[in-house]
Amino acid sequence: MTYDRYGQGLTASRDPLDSEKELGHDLLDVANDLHEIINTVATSKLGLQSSDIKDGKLHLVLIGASIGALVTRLYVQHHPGAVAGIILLDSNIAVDYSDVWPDPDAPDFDPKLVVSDDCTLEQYRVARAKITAMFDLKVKNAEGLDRSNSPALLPHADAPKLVGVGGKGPQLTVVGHDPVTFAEMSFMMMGTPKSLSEKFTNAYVKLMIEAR
Amino acid sequence: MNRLFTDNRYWAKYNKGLTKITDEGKCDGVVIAKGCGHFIQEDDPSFVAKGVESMIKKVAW
Repeated sequence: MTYDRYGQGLTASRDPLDSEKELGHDLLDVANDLHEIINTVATSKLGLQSSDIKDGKLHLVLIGASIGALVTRLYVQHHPGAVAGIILLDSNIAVDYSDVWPDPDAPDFDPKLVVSDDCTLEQYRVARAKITAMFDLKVKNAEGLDRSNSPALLPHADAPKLVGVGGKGPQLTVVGHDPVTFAEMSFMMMGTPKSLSEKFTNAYVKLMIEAR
Repeated sequence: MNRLFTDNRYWAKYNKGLTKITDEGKCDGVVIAKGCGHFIQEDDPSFVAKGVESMIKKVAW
């Protein structure tokens, strides 16, 4: 079963919470919505009680891509006992790109960090401006999904441990993108010089690890 | 060049961290989706479908 979140795909309606919150609803709200869907299907279509979900009778397998990986983790953290298996496809990492891509206007900025055969300083400025205008955590998006508290909701890659059916850890598959294809696609879609994808998508992860 | 920015291992580290959020023996490490960018389900739907099938077999009860 797949579904579209509020403000995505075929779900044209807005999350009612968006009128109360400046940047919109957050990832925890999305995880709560997911539970509503699961609960509704379980109780109206499968003849189960709400309590059967936490008892593991649904034996759920959740698949989350990108920001969906964060939703999946939050869901399992808040519903221990319900999930048997998880597939995470190229998880989003909750940090700001502007913290990772060096600021060209900072006094200690070293152009040697960014300039290479496929990238002039001017190209770097353009690429950084595009990426941060699109993806920084406080940027409003059409969905009304507020990502600004996501580093606080999920500060670590390797914690907390998830509890699945029967109080045991769920079966888990972690899938990552192909770094070569990723750099090529960033170049095609955003004009990001490949050398920058290689430098800063890696650095993005480094920052996450240092922040621990 | 700053080594931090050029070492490919750092990209992999976040995913490696994720493999530890379950019990030992419940995750077979990080799988790289060959030829896929960020939207793995669009770039290689059959790869994802096979992953789902194999997951369902593993958790069957």
